[in-house]
Amino acid sequence: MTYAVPFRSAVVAFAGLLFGVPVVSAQTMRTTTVTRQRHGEKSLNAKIDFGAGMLTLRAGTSPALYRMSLRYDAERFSPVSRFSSADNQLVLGVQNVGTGGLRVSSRRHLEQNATVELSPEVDLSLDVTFGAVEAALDFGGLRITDARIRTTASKSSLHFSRPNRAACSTLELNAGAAEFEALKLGNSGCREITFDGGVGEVTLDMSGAWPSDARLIARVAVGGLTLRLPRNAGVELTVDRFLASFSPAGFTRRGSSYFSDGFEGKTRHLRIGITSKVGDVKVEWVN
Amino acid sequence: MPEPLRQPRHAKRGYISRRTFRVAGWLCATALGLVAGPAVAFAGPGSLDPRNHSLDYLRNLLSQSNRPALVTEHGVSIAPERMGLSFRLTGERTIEIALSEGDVLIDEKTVGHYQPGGHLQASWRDLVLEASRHPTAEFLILAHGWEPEGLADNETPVAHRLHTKLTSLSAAARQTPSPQAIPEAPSTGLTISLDNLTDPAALEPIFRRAAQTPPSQLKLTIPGGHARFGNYSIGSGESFAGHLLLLKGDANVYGVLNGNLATVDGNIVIHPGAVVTGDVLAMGGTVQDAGGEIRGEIRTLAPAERGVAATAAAPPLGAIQILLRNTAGLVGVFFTLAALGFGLVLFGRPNLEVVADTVSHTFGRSFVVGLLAQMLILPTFGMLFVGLLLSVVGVLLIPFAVLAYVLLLLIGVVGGYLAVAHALGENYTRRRLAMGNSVVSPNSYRYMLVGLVAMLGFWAAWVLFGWVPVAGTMMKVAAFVVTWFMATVGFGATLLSRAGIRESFTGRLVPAEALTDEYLWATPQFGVPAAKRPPTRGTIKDQ
Repeated sequence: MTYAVPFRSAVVAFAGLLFGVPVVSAQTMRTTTVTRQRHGEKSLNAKIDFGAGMLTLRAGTSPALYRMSLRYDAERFSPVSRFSSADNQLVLGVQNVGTGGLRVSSRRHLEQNATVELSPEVDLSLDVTFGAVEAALDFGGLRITDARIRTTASKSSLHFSRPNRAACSTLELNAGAAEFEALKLGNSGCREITFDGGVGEVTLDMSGAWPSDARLIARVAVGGLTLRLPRNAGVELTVDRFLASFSPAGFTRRGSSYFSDGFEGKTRHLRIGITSKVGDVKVEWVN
Repeated sequence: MPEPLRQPRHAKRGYISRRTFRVAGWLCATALGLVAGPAVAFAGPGSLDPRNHSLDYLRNLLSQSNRPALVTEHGVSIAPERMGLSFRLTGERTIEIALSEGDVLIDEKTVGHYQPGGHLQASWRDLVLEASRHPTAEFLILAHGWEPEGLADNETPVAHRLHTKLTSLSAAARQTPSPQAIPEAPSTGLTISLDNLTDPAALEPIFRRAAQTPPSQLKLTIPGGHARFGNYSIGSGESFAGHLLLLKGDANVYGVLNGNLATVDGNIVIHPGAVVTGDVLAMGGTVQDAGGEIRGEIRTLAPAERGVAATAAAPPLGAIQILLRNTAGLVGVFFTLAALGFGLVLFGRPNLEVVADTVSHTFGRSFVVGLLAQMLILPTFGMLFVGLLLSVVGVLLIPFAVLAYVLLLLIGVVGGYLAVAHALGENYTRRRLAMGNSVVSPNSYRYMLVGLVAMLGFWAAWVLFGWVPVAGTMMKVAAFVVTWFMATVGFGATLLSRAGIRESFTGRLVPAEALTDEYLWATPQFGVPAAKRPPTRGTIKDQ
């Protein structure tokens, strides 16, 4: 008596189960655009929410009030675009749908991306939230009155490539576990900038054309913080650190604060408060 | 008498002689040399691989004959390290051109390199962005005039190659049905509301259904509007009242449209002086704002991308397919757990047996402990985290502590579950032995297998009958509850026995004579000293 035939049958049946079953579907990528013409709007309260992929945000070149070009995974996300002309509230981005989860069958499927262009002619109150993304936000040329940027696990860059065309009151930056850099913050002209960082590498470049004195409060839990400070501004620095290292190059200590050379003689003054639990706080001087 | 020599087959009429074949071979080789020579020369010294260029050159000569490829639509992909254009050609072919991480790719083959951050990349980025703003025909005109400037020396050949590729593309003329109004459907017929165009993806199925119906057979009602096949224009002096849906046609608006406008597989052009009071949607097309006024939102939705689109339209799985898929899943889980179980038997048998005995002898208590432990998982984790955070050195240990906690939790739950399977299999085997059945190899491996088969039996029932409405759902819930119950008991037993180190709950304090495993380890006669189990460390029973 032999069991070869049943065993072989079982193997064949099992292989059939494995390979005969149709492959579960891959992602379906869609591309959509949303645009609205500007019809005399003077201000815009924009909320941009993007979950995963690559986000680009910049000033638009067309006369549109806003424009979003979005390539998204239709099985996990759906595009969102809501505009209320009554109060100029705008919501753009994607929202989760379906079962969620991350399914990647090729590198190409990770290429969910959104390009958002906002009108440089209207005063903007911005609220940008993004998750597992790489983000390149260039606020140069926009009219930012206030902005809040929240990012979780991502590699993000915020750049004020050109001076802000409006008076900015506050800029709130919140980065969870992220590699985050904010460049030319001086061009933002924001009178108060706050940064809250969880875990990650952070670069805050305070150079740029400061129109007035400003204040920066940076709180970093774990990770490195690099401060780039302009030589042409007077800087007062207060550091509250726990297990963080800090070398006050270019500063003179007075009481509990550090002052840059020639602080009083400078036309612009930056007051910076840093709280760091674990990590390095580095200062780089730039022209 | 010698037989006459047979004539070779190739010498017969209709066959090529060896000599002719050889001559033809030489001619082909000469032709290949003539063609490949200039191709290699064209490739230049800075090119990557002259052979690739030669082959491409030959391929172009032979297959395309310098005729432009006809593009039906184009797409854009933008990623951190990649910016690409894709062209869908007539005949279901595609061409993809991309700059990615220093490489210039045509159909995913490297044809050259560029300097990241250089002029070629910048110029290409601008072109790709233009591609996202223009319809295919317009973009191809732009692409033909694409001339990047300020290139590095090594970028010039590849830029030339890109330009050549782009100029080989031209827009295909679309076939549009003759313009005609679509009659209204009867009250129970197909109705599409254009009142809300904010979710094009949701509208797409019904739009496509209408567009794929032959014009002669389609009847369609647009509440507060009209539907048409083919191209349609609203003249500069005209005013169109209500929504307008165009199927397989372009919309040219010169006048006023009081409503929403949607096209399926057609483009929309809003000319100077035109007014659209509502939203505009081009599904499978583009919207060109040539200077008109659109008071609503402008949307486009491109077709689902090739290669993945088919899955969207795939029919739902049938009962047999679901059965097969779930069976495969169950078999996979079984083998995984069996492998883990065998590993546990092999490397941690004493501990496994102690936990399994704890399950057998302290079942209720194990469940209660497991239940309480589940409720305390998060609070304990929180306390651990906060405690470490507050201590000076502990902050540095947080990542390791989190990892260790999760790992221990997994081991506790999975190991406990496997211990329950072991206990189940052991009890079942003993009973069979007690009934006088002969069992081959009554050891821990067998217990594990038997237990797993029993515990996954609930899932097997669901796999077999899960497709039955209501009953299938109930089976799934039952299988889940049973699995959770067993895992809870196992987790509790693992905690009670300290992962098999502590034997207080294993029932081994019972006198040897009262033990019930004499079926397995000794002759079933009361008072006869029983053969001992293989010793485990610190067995209280032996003291």
